[in-house]
Amino acid sequence: MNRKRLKLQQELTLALLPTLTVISILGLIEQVSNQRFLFSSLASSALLIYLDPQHNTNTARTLIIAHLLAASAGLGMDVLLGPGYFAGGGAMIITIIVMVLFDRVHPPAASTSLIFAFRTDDVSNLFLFFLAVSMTSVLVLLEQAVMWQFGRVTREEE
Amino acid sequence: MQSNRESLKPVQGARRPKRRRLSLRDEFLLALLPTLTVLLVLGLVEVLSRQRLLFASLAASAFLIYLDPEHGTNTIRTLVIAQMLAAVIGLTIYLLLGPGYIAGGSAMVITITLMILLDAVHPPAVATSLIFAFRAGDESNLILFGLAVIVTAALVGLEQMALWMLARTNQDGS
Repeated sequence: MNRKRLKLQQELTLALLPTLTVISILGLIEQVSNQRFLFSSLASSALLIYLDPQHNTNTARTLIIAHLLAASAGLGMDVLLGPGYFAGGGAMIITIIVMVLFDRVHPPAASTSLIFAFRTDDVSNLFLFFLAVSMTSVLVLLEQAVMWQFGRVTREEE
Repeated sequence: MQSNRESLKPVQGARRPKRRRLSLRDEFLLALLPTLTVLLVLGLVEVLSRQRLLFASLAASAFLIYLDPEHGTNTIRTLVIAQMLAAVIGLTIYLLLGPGYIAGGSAMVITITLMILLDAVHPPAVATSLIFAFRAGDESNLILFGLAVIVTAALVGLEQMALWMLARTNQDGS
């Protein structure tokens, strides 16, 4: 995470994409489910992508693997132990160990594991979450394209 | 607005611009501190409140600190300003509009805008604004959240120290 600060207007433009992405995802969730909490960690991912779209922690592959792993661990622990401290702690520890082992560390996934362990309700939420993660992963490409465009404009100005 | 803002670059004195991947043993050692921090915070919440979800975003903060403890987005100033700002905005919007899509969306947009303007961008704070806007409960949760943020802020110093010690041990070993 080491990108240069852009002009304020460019920063706000770059932040507009994750904002719209999260608002779209929340709007979609609002229509088909009441489990808004399950998707709040994706908002952190969206802004982390804005902060540095070219960082390894924000590749589409890392994003998808980390979040789906975390959601599955959370759901699994919730089913095994019921929602609570032990389910949350267990899901988070499993998620961290696997993310580090496979070198796919994406910090907001730690929140995902906790949220799913605390309140999942049913498996269908996992499919909905996968859809939302896919939408967020498209943001990686969009933000990289915008950064590239800003870089080109800045070079032309110099 | 200056072009070299704090929250987008490594802190002053940081030894390297991006953290290298360490050996697997060292990675786990470094990941142990945020894990224990989150378990401690959740334990406190378990004893004092039933609002576990309000504290889930601090887990993302803890592991962002593990990933790069010397980055500007993980300074104590940025962490505290962003997380507390998000919680206050989320709670205020919740009290004004009640829980829901409009409350969550508004809290998030205000939080992102202020974080950029104040140069205190800490991504997990966005989840905090949403979670508080969806279910803040009451003001006492804000105080408890403030305590949890302070515990997480202490992790910044601990992780920087752990990274320094690991680097020194590796230097001595080679």
